[in-house]
Amino acid sequence: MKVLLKKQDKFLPEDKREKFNQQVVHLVLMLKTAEIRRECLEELIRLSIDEHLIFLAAQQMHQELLQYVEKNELDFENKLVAQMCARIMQVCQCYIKVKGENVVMGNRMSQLIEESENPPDIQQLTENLGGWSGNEVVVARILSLLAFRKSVLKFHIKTGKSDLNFDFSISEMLSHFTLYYSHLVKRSNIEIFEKLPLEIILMNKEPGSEKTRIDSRFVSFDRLSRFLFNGIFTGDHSHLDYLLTDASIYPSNLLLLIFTSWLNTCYSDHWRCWENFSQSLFKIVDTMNDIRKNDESLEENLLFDSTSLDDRLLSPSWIDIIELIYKSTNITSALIAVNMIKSLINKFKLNEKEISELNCITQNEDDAVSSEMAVKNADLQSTHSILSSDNDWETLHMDKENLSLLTKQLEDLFLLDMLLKSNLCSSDAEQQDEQILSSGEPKVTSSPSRPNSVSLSFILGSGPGIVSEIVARWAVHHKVPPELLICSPSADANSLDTKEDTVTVADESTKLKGSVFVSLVLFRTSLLSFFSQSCGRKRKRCWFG
Amino acid sequence: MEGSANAVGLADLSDRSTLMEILEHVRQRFPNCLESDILLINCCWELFLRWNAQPLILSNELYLTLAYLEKVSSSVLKHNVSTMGWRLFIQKRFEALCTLIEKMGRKPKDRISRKELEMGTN
Repeated sequence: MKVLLKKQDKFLPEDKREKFNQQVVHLVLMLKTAEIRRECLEELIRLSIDEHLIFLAAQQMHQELLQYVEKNELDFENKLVAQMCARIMQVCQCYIKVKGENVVMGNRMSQLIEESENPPDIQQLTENLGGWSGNEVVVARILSLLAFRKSVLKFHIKTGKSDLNFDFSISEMLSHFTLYYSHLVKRSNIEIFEKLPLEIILMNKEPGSEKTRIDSRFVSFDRLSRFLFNGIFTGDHSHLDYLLTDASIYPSNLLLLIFTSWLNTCYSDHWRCWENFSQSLFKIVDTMNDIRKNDESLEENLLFDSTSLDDRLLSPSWIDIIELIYKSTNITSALIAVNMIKSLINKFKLNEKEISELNCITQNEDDAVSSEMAVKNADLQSTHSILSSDNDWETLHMDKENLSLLTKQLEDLFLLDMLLKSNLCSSDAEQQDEQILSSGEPKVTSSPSRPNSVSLSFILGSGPGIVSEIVARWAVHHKVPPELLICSPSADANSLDTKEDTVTVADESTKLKGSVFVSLVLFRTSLLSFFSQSCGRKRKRCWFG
Repeated sequence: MEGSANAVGLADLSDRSTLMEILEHVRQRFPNCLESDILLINCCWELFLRWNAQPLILSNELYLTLAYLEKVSSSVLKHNVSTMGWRLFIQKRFEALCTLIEKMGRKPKDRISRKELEMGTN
């Protein structure tokens, strides 16, 4: 089969391709043992470039194995292979569907970009974004920041259209999923062979030596996330439904992927995409909570609720997401992502409040039944009212505070990032660079790469002087004149004030010094006159004596 | 021609004012890190580093260093940074050159000087 797969060609005519596929499938069906079947599927995934061929081979093998299952003649190992086939089929179907839709989405994306050029109705946008901290000002503030950035940056902001068309093979897609497990997946104690839950590989299989950096522990799935979610950001919500239901990808994995995709693309520049992101995010989280309600026996808490927002209780997915935000160099996307999370928290807190209020009402109804219980409940309610009033005005939960701090830090970083990406004074410098390149002289390699991408983790982890250092590097690179780096006139005025202060202090000190000097001189003269007088007397005495 | 030159001049002026505005915004967010003196000193140091890496190609950087250094308001800071720059980057080259002359007993050839001073062949 390896020899056969080496002969495969992407541009084979239809009839020849069919014949080729039949040959491969025929070979696959000839296999007998579970181990060989599994190895064959793995080889097929590794070598084949045609998603239809992989799907066909997996489907045929799956059907053959299911026949044995019906006869109850299949051993445990082969059942695992049958489940593997089902997963491969699911991933292939997902790939074919998403790939087909991404091609169509180009026009939709350009339409969204055009719509985003117009200013939004902020109230409407805030509502569509799920309240965004219950504050329209936040939305307006970010929009104005973006408008400022757009006016400042000379280079053309990426449209996001290019994100839709990139080469992502089926082998790459399949490599991101766990296809083979050593245990059988069951639903209600019944072995299942279709619509199996798909899990993404988050960690590298081989952790490597101790020298390996911590970053390399995680699999980079930015390409997978871009492939899956580009269509969703352009407004295709059926796409997400498919991923959640038919593809059966774990919602917690989808949650991580949606943030990865958002942080690795430039959709945040267009406000119309924010709505799509928000809707998709809410949908995924709702699905997660539904699953949780249905199956409360799950020990692993991968869900998001306000009780698990403390760092110690934060679910693994959310920790990874916050880490992604910290590491992201796409500051605009990170800023919007944090605000989305904040709005999500608000939503859950509101829901909780409604539930607790409902509980109170039902409690009151019960209280009316017995007077003794009513007295007790009245006491309870009074204490509860104190507690709830506390909750109303004192909502300083750690998670919210942390996210507020994160938002503030990202806003600061947004401005810094804008400064570092601006090239307002650098036209000459870039011309010079071009000249150097054209003249064949070596480019300046001593200076570090253009200091135009910063992340929060980089700034926080590089020591206290890093901001000054990178701004200086930027200033030198763009040949910003030193006059511009000196504080503005307002600051100068402040410094002048301080100078005036120092001048007055100096004057006073000179006055003081002068007065001391005068007094010293007077003291000295008085002393001299005293001595001279006393000496005169002595002399006189001597003279007379 | 004059019109286009004026337009370019105005564009430069607006660019400068925009740049100063952004810098002012960033300064408000990072007031300590972006204090004028600290920023100017960091610029000087960056230029020193660039010059040190490729002293012949980037010979102009040393003059630029002085331009930035001039604007530093604290004379003590100015003196200390220039002394550090001199000792770390410039003095060692003069020392190497003196050692080379003493060793050879005559004016060394250009090629040998470059090699000894680690100034590259370009």
